[in-house]
Amino acid sequence: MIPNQSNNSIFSDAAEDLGVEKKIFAIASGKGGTGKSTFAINFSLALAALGHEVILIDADLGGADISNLLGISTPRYTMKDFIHGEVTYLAEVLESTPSPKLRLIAGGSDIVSISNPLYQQKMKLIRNMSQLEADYIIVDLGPDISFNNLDFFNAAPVGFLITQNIDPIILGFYRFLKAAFVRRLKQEFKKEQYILNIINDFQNQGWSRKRRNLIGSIRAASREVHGRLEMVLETFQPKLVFNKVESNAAKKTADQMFSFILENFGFRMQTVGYFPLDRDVERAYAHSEPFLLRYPKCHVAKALFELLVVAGLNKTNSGERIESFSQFIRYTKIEAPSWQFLKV
Amino acid sequence: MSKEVEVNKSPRSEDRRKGGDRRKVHTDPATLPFPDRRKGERRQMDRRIVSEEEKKEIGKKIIPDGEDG
Repeated sequence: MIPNQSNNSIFSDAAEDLGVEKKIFAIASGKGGTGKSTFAINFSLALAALGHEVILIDADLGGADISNLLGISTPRYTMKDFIHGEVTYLAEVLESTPSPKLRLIAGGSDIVSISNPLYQQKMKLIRNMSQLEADYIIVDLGPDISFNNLDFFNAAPVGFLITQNIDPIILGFYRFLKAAFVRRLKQEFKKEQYILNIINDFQNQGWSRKRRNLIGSIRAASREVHGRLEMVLETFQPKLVFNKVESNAAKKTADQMFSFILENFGFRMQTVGYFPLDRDVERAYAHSEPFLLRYPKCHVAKALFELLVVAGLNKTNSGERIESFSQFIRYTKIEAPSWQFLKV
Repeated sequence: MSKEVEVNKSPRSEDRRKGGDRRKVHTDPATLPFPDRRKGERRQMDRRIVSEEEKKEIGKKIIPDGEDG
């Protein structure tokens, strides 16, 4: 299944706009086990294979496992060293990977204190992330709806949500999306108490058919906030990736969800990728290896390439546009020998 | 004959009296699920992100695999 490959996609525009600032992508899901970390790793590797400098940040504070999935069992430094103030800058905890273009900031797992950083520590982390020197920064978030995840998600210019066409996972995705949007609204209108009251009422009274028009209520409250409200609605446009797709049903679900979200919250969403159910991904995962390197020709690798096309990211660092999947495979095959485990 | 007044009677050290209390953690009260007692609220509010009615509505939007015609 190929997503709409319009050259005028919102995402392409957003990616172009990012030219003036850091291209930071946050990856979230709202539910564990959707394939978020697998996507983050392979997406980062795909960009690194095209010659871009990429930093992958494991921001699943407390539950980090990307270093394991990349075969780096004991990273020298982790996020813990930065959060605990043992180093001054986040750049000091960068860990190299077998790929010369990909660097990692490992999250410190098994440590309770860093899974709940203080507000100041979190803000310091977000500031430092935007100061890192790289072409792309990929931030893999935790699965839960904590303020950490919501704030990291909202701080990134582009957010991906990974979901599957299964009831509890769609609900998890919707719950995360709604919580992130409400938090974004509250941050924007934190000085306008009357707007905060509308949002709080909306949250406290629960959703119902009669009361669901949150955006309409804010618009009706004051004309002065219209401009800022429109700005929030225009910039809050998470990109959806459907994982483990088995049929066209996922596309229909996505269409239904998007019209529901637009009607109730006033912002637009876009699906940028449909990743088919593929045994090769599970096989690669079982070996703690990225599917892109172990099975560069697999169906999901093709879907990942199609996502790069839709997102306008199918360019090498020298600006050459990669038009075909076979051309893309050549780049990923060049990348593969750097990884020790693939030589065995 | 003027007598020198001792100003510094605080038992806290000089550096502790400079600036605000840095131990304070700033939190946005609007994001906390606790009742605002200044407004007379007593019970904890229902801050469920997704209501039961909403869940049912979303459930109708999900087209399961194999039922896409």
